[in-house]
Amino acid sequence: MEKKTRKIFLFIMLLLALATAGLAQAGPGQYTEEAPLGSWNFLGPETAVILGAGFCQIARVGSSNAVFANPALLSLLPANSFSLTPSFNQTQLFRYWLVNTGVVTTSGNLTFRNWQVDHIGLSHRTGRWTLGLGAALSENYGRPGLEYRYVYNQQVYNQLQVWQTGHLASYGLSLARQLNRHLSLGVSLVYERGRIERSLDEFWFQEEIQMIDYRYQKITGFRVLAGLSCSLNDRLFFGLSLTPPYTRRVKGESSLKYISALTEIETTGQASDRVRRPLILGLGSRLVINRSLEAYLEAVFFNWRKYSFTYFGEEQARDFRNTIRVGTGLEYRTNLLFLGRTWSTPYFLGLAVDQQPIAEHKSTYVFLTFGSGIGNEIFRLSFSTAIGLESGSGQKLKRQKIALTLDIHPGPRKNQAGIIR
Amino acid sequence: MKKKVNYRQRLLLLIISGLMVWLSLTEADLSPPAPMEVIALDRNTDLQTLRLSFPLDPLLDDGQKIYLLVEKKYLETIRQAGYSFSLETSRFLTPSAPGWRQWLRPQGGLNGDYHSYQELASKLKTLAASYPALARLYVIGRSLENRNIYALKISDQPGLAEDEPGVALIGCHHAREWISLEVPLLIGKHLLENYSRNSQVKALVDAAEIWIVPLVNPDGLEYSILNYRLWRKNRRLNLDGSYGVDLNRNYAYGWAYDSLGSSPEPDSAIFRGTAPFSEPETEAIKTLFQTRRITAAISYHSYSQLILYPWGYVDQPTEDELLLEQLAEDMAALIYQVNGRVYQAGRAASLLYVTNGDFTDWAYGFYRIPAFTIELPPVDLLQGGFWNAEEDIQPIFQENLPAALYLINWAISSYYGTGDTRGHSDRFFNRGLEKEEENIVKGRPGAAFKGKESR
Repeated sequence: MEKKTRKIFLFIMLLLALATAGLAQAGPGQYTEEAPLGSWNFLGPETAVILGAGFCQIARVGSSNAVFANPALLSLLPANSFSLTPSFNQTQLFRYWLVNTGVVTTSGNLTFRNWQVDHIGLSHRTGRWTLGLGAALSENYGRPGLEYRYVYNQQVYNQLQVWQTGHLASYGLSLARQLNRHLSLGVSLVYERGRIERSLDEFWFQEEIQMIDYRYQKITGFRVLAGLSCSLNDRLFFGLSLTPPYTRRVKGESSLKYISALTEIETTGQASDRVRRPLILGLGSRLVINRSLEAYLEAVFFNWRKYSFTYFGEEQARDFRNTIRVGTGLEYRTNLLFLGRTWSTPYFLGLAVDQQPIAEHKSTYVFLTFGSGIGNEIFRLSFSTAIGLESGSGQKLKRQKIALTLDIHPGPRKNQAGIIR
Repeated sequence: MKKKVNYRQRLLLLIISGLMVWLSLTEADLSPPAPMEVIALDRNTDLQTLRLSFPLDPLLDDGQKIYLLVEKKYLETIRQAGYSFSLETSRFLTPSAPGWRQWLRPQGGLNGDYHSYQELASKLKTLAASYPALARLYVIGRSLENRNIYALKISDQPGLAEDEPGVALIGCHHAREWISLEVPLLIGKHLLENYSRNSQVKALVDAAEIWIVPLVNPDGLEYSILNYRLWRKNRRLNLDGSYGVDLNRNYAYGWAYDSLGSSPEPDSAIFRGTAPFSEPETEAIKTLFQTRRITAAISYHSYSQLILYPWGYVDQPTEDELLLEQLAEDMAALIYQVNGRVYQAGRAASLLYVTNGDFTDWAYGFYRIPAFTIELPPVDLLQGGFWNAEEDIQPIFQENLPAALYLINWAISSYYGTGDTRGHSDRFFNRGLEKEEENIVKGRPGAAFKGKESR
């Protein structure tokens, strides 16, 4: 039976790997106005444990980040859990806004770097019910800032400065219930709130003329997420995650100004926009190969063809294709004697293929991920990195993320499934 | 004991659910927009009293009826108040039509009162739908990014290609010159709205075919609104990775005459393209001229307050210099009378700078018709350059209206050979066209446009 299960798992893994090889295509151009940095495809925050093992999080009991990926997994956590994940991100962009679209040309890709808190969350179990709470940084809208100067005969004639910042935070509340030893269900209600702010400031020194283009958008949204977790036997586990389509509301304000010695002209605008977000459906599996080794495989489908976006009152054309993000990972655990105590030290290795939705460019990132950690029954510190190489855009964009996660499980107790994580 | 635990869990679930519902209510506007209807009342109705009693939004006046936008819930009350009206909603747009929401949506996006491509398309469709006896909307081509290039034909028989002179009023070759879209659009709107109550307008529309092409460069305009206000060219991705061809250097006459009046460098603001009419946007204008009897034209630009006539590619007079100069000066005088703003008239190459491959040289050079470039206000960079305040749109339109009407009137007189334009008529219309275009032009009456689009 064990051998059979393993064979089935490996066969599915092989099929998916072949499928993604066929789907893998290349392309940049994903940096439209509303594009999040790195990837359009967001399921849940990537803690170090998840990042290291190929982004797999639908069938894998990690931490309270399950609020955003598969709330059913909360039932399988220890009775109380707390998790905190900061990360460092490097994302390359080539074409965005007025950069490399005709106004400002760069000799190569530009890199946006930032530190951020990806996730903070906790969970508490009472009987068969588990409550989860969490906050996550789901999207970052920052862009590399730019300052351009036209200098002739040591005199500055024209100066252009552009910057863009912004993010989307998600606040989730989940309730999960373990129905029996094999099956758990969970539902999350996620409130989203964020902003995008951008500014262009241009100055012509000879004429003393200034142009300012400033835009501010406030984003809010509300989505529901349902999850399921089931174990076929002691070795094979499956998870399902479903986010139905939902709408984000965006309130925008803009000011376009022209200032000279003789005049000041301002055009202001307000808008109430809507962004129709796609259905997200994820399926994941976990295979316990032996006491030290586990393998994960998951695929997440994003129905981007149904995506629509209005910007300051006008529907913008978005030729999007549906995408699938596929991840696979391994976790190998050993023990280590340190300070007179036995510590668990996991090692993660993963691979992920992340298609981007813009049909024109057919951009895809391929990620290699790895990480490690140290912990005992009460706390665990994990660190991982993911290095992604993009193809399809012709620009060979790169993306890197380093995540550090602290998990605390005060008063560890066995969960209903008898599993200690 | 067990029952007590369940009770607590249920209570907790209830509190959480309530919290979530409340949270969603605070962010979601649950009230949908009120359903609207368009009603038509007789022009003699006492609208003053009606408007004091109900929130109404006047939509248009076609000379016989007044059309008002009103919330559906007021219809019965208006009827009970003794007003007689007919429901005309379906005549404009059906609620399921894609443009419906957009039509009702308040203006004021990034570009304020100026029109974007979508707003223009919606406005042109509404005009054509509102005046079916006077206007017909055509798609004369498509841009690189597949946006329509619209031409609104205004005439007493818009569905027929009559033996009448055509006058083309063209705007927004250059993306950043937003005002150049507004002026021809408002002129077209003025002609339609005043046909039934202004005898001069009626006479012009009856005797001519007026072609309003407000937006030659839709892709560039969208880039100018969304990304960089000062974008000028279209959105061609050139071989060197730069973007854009200057559409007003891409016409065939004098194309690439020198590298002063246009540039062979793709990243130049005045890049002329790889060949004459290499761009679909200029090709659309060419199609319009090939298939219709255009006898006079104005291309609106900004800024400088100038009225320019050929030649632009070389600083030499055309053989019609005196006539073109006279027409330009007459138009400048008419403009001055409205707001006291001075537009200088003169030959393009000497008054502004040399330009080769521009629209005006081509229209005159190939078709031998009077063609003008009007550089709209302001006069210089310090007073706004490519910027005009939203409240300046109407004054700029108002001052340009008499000049446009004057040229239409001249085209009619010239075409029919009446009054003191008789000599001009002979000069312009009995003369052979440039050889390269001759064969194409011969076949133009009645020729159909590709992608014709009616209301």
